[in-house]
Amino acid sequence: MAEASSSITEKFFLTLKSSDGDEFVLEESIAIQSITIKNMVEDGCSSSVIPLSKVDTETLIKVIEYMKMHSSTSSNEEEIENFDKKFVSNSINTILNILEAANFLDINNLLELCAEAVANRIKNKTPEAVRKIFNITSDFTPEEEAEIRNETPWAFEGNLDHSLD
Amino acid sequence: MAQDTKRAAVEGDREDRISALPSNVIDGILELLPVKDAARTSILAQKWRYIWAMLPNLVLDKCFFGKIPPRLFKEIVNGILLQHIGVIVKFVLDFVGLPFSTYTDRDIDRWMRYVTRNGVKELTLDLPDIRTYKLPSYIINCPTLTYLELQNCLFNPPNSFLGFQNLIDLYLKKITFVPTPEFCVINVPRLVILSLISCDGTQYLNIVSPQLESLTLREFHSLVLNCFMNCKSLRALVFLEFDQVVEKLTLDKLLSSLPTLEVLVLGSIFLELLSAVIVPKGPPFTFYCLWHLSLSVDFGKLSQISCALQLIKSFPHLSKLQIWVSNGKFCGHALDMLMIWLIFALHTCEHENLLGISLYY
Repeated sequence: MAEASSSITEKFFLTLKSSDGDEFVLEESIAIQSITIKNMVEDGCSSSVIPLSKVDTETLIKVIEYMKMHSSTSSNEEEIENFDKKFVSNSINTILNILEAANFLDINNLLELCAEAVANRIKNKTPEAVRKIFNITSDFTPEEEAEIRNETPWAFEGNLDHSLD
Repeated sequence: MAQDTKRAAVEGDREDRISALPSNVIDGILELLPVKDAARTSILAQKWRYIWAMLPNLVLDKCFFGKIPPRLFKEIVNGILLQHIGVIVKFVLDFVGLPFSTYTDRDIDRWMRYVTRNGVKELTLDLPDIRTYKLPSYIINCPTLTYLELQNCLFNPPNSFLGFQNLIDLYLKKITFVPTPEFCVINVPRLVILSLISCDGTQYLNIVSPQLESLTLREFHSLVLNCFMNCKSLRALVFLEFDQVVEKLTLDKLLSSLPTLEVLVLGSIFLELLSAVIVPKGPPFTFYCLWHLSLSVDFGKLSQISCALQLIKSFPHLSKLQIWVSNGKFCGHALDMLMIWLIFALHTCEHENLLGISLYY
């Protein structure tokens, strides 16, 4: 079955180049899960190397891993589910890098997956914990903070989680 | 490699990556958070100060109110809407199952006036059983609505009622339609999905929706089907949990007028009703597009079993069949026998596409 179809439809390959200058060869049918790449292919800009100046090598490797797993041909639902679960257990900085790349490359599923992973790290946490997890520095004075708490006091009540998990 | 990761981790530690994300990505993350968590982000840093206040979706439901003392509901909804900046695309206000609170119908009026003037497209207003909130004209005549869900309200359309011009999906639960001197014509030219659950006064309605594809009617004491006779494009029909049906002949008339039907779900009372027409002469209709049939059958009544079989015969392209056994007398071995008998009976109908039969009890 696979042989028969591959002899009829020729496989096309694309070369993606990361911001660190590393090149990756990828099947076109897998790469066009990225709408950005798909548009480039359709506009005829893909004959040579596609430079992805906003995506570093480490991130691009993860994105390609994801696209390979999610390409329609190879994997079953359970495999994909397990892969996604493991994927979001990457460090939060890696997730944020992938999130930005997914936004740039316009890969909707990946964007949603990472956005949810980030949201889960904010959910039910104290502002102090969220600041530590994401390295956000507060530029408010204590008076300003008190004022903001006063605007929505209900948002700061209840058992909030101090941990950095 | 280990060193690389370590170095990256150290560098990453110092950098605020999340605040540097494009604003559409940050909005996307906050959209995934419940209101309480989103509101808390306003204190993180200046950049985050007003992001949550500008989010276009506000979901104030059981999950939100459940963690708040009921005496504060009114003040908090007021506060959230006063602080909001810009359009509200989706607004959910769901008080169902919550303890009694001090907000009045006038408060609900004010909130509804605010959101309907701020471009709301998807509106949910679910009120508890004790309320009989009279729907104000600014909801009924709101031109931006595409999705409307209402529970426990009084529907008394103003004279100027034009119907919901842009509504695509309408869900009404425990709504009382107030009698009007003439038929209340609800003109919904773009409506695709309509669900009516346990509503009163549907006999005063006439629903004009040429594009309606899915109609669900549940938990009615009685119902007049006449008001749906104008919906000719239906692809899915769900009639469940009725006590009785007033008119005896309209269901088969309605079915006969729906050649494009694809999904049909019927409660056992409807089989009873149809059996009078179908069993002696065979069904007056054949559905060539129908692929999913779900029937609730009382196996204690022969008329319902024969009717179910006759119905199945008139759907030659059925691929999914679900039978719900609504008579508790059958269990275990008897059900197995029933299934074998059913499969045998179905084989004689020559259904080539029938892939799955499920039996529930």
